[in-house]
Amino acid sequence: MSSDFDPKIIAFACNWCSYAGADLAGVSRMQYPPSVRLIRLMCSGMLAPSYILKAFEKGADGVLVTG
Amino acid sequence: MSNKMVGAVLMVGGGIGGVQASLDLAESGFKVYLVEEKPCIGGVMAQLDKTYPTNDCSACIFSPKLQTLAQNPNIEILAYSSLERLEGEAGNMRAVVRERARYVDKEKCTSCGTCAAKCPVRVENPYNFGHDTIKAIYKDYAQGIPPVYTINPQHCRTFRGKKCGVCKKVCPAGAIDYEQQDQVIELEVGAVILSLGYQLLDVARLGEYGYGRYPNVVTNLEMERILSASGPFEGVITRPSDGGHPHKIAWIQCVGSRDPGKGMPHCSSICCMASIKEAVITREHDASIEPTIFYIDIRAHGKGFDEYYERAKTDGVVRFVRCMVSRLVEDPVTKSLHITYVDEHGKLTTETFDMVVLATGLRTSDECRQLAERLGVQLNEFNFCSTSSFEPVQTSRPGVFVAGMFQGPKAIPGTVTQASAAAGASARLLAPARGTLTVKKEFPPEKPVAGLEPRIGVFVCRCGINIASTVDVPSVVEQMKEVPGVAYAGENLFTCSQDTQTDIKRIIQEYDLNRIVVASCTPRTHLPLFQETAREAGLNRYLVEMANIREHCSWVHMKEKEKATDKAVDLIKMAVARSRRLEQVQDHQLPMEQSALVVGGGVAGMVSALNIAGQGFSVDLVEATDRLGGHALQLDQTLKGEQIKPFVEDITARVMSEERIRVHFNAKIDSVEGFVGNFKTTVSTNGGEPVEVKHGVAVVATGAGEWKPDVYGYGTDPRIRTHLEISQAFTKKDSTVLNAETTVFIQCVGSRGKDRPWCSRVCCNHSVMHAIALKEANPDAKVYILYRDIRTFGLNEPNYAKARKLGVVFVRYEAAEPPVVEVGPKITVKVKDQLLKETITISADSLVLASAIIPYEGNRELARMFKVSTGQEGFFLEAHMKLRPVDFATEGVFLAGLAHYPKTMDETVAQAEAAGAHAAQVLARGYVDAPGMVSVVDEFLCRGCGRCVDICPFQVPELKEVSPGMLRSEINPALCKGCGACGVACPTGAAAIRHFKDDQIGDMIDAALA
Amino acid sequence: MNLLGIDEKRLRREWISASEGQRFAEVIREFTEEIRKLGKNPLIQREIAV
Repeated sequence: MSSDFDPKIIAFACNWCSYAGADLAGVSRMQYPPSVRLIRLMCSGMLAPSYILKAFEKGADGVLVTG
Repeated sequence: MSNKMVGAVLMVGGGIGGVQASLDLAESGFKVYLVEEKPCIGGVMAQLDKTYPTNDCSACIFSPKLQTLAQNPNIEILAYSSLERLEGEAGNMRAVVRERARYVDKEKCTSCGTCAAKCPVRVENPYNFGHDTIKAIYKDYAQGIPPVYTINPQHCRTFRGKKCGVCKKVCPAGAIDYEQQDQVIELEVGAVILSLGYQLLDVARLGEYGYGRYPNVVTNLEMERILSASGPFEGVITRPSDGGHPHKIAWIQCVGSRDPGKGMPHCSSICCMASIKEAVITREHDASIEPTIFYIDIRAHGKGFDEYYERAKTDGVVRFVRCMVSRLVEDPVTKSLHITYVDEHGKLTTETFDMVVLATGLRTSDECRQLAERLGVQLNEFNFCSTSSFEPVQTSRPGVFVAGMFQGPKAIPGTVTQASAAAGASARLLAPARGTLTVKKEFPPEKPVAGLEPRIGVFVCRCGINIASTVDVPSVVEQMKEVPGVAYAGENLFTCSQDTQTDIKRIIQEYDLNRIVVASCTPRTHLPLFQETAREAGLNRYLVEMANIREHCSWVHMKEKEKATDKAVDLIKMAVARSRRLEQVQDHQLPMEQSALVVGGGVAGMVSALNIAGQGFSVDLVEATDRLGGHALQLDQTLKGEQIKPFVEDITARVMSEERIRVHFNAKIDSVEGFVGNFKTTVSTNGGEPVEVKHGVAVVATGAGEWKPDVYGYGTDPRIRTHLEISQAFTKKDSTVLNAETTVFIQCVGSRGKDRPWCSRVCCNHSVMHAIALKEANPDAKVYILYRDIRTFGLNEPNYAKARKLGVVFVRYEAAEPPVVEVGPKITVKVKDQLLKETITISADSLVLASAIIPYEGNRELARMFKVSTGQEGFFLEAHMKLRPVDFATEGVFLAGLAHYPKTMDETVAQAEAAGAHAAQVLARGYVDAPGMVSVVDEFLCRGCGRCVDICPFQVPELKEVSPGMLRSEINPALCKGCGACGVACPTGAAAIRHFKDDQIGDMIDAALA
Repeated sequence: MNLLGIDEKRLRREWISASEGQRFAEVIREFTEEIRKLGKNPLIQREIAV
């Protein structure tokens, strides 16, 4: 399997927890691959399963749900 | 009081301290006059590049505050002004302020800059320390507030009697006024706060290290400007002599500081961290640069500082050399600098550097001292404002308070804390006059957008070089112009600056925008600012969307510029997609329980409680033991030599007699429910029934513990004591301690190591203080302090000098070769002296272990209950390490004392005053802003199945019978937390969260993958 | 998921708190690597094949 493609990952993040964690990663200049497209939710309880299915249908290579 | 109280405060000094105090006071219901000497507010913090230990960009974190301040109708900025006289008594004073002539009408000037562009006179720019030029009509920095230009008559051709008048001719606003005179303004105020800042020691006058003669020798502050994207070299590290790129840069510490010969016996407290940060950031700009720091002791005594220092050291980024620099000479041809020093092996070495940065000591300026004299405010022997440890923001004149550097050298969080404390002290003094002079902000009516085609404005921020050095901003803007619905796309140097807010408002009108997208940094800090701007332009707050292309893009993909640009485009397209679907949402206000809960009955808890009660609100104070006072009961004296016991007795008596404070002894918190404005906390007292306390806000002041060492023979011999134990021995006048022939102090016991990487901040001072006491009582006693770095920071440094003068022997050891203790008839301490490079053996009668201050085990549990955070080490984590040192990220919960980090008595009192002030500020508002981002049920779609009732974690939805057998779910917007769980559970799609509807999220997914 | 023909490994749930910047970066690094190994989203490949 080829491993040199650039995956597109949709991530859902809670404003108070993981979104803040992602902010901290930025402030600390921790480098990571530019694969993730983060969608901010106010709470991970907002995440409907349909969002995940939709992301895959539209071609996301991966979906990350962070609470 | 016979005089009537005036509900206004005069704030002198427009740096971060003045800005913070002004915002706090205006929020608390007081009118503020902010007097600043310079043409723009912002002070030194506006000049800084980055801030330690988070490497936050200074402008980025400061701009929102400046902006909020400029938008506040109850703060009047009097820049380019000075306080001349102050008459009257606390509560009712008359201040005379002189506003200097700018020769530009501040009401007319639009800050367009045409005047400066056309002005023919070019002069050195003092704001950038002469590393570039400005015109005779100028503004210190582009985002400066107030946004007004100023003519310098010393340089202006018109004022020098030559033919010119160009600025007057070109000014489109007709703002130039060569005849303008100084204005003398009289103000009625109730209190005054002095946050006058500092200046660097004049190194050029001292001729120190060739400064002023050698172009490549600069100060710390100059280096900040050199590093800054908005500085003279636009962030490219440049050698002033030839514009070349330096490869070896040296920082020399303690230039002027810790040197009574220069009139500076104190330590400037911030320079070690400032230099380490500059070295780290320098490397971030250009990885080929080799930074070296020459130092005496590294003083990394704040939260997260030592970890930062260790990272700089172990990552191999910065070379640290402990030595005194004996000589610095310039190479006349290359203009490089030869530094001669005695290295750690005692060898005389000369090394060549391309550039040298002097960590120049700081002091109060002559003008500040003169002002203090005019006001009758006492200074101490170091020429900083004199205060007691128990009232750290109270000057010698009642009604006049102090904050920041003017009270003593300190970093930004200390200044912010004191500023809030001074605001709190003023608010308490003037509580009866609260709200008498303030006005409510008026907004234009909201433009209805329902049914209109989206016209979206996209504002892409360069953030200096923070975004633009990684993401190709112009290309992003071009791509955005192609996106459907986008009516405007443009870029800004700093989108959060005052002038950009004006631009955004203008563009919203000009392009008839009905949505805006700001692509910059995190919405968690900056969204409210842009919402306010949109609202001022007549747009509903919820029609603003942000794309985070800094924290989530440019900062984390620095080496992949193209992919980062692609990602930025995606992120903005997602935001645009969402914004197309955004609808107007109305916020509302909820009632508030106007009382506070304070957890912890030590000094921090008591001071917070007294401040809140003093402002007229009731307080429940929860104490775990059967008495108030906490660890202060075991301490003998403060670093200034004040007796602690009478102070603790005094505040305990005041707490017990204050009718607004109810103390719960032997009490424990079982559970916390609710949120700001409406907390319900269950408190159980030993053996008694649990009681429920309703409160609007909470202060966490639970203190910290002392590590019980498992090293150096502790616990095996009564002659080996910790710091708390030695304090008690002093109080009891224990002769085995006081009459010991030989006493050894070992520093950093359990601190600054693998398990506990932090510096416990107070221990060096504490040991030095007790060593002095022992020597003074018995000059023949032998006293040794075994240390790693002596951290007698700030105004405590003279104690270190005094201890050495009295004959206390200081022996430095390395962490890798700690002292060895053997207990016998005497306590034998062996230590390898790093100066002599040999092991010395001391026979001691008393051994004191400067043991670490550690967070309590229970912190995490308490944090969980209040939904706040703790740091990795277990101390409570504030909302922002620089600018919000007493707030939690969770609204309505505040933090004070050692629960946050080890600190001295005056720091604890200041933080407690500040936490109390912020708590009272929320209570004074009287209501809670409830965001409109709540769940709504579409009654036509709802089938009344009740799944939302089952799933809601807050038990908000209720099933109501609307007609026989027909159930419908109802959600009370006042109680809904907007978590969205009901929307997910609802089988028909009847329940949905406003502002986070399915189509709003769905379109983002589409845009991300398009 | 399985109905769609998507490998469950493509969906990951992680708890990351506000103070775990380091962990956020690590999760992204690991997950990206794992997705690289799994290859592109098969739904899209099928469409292309058609």
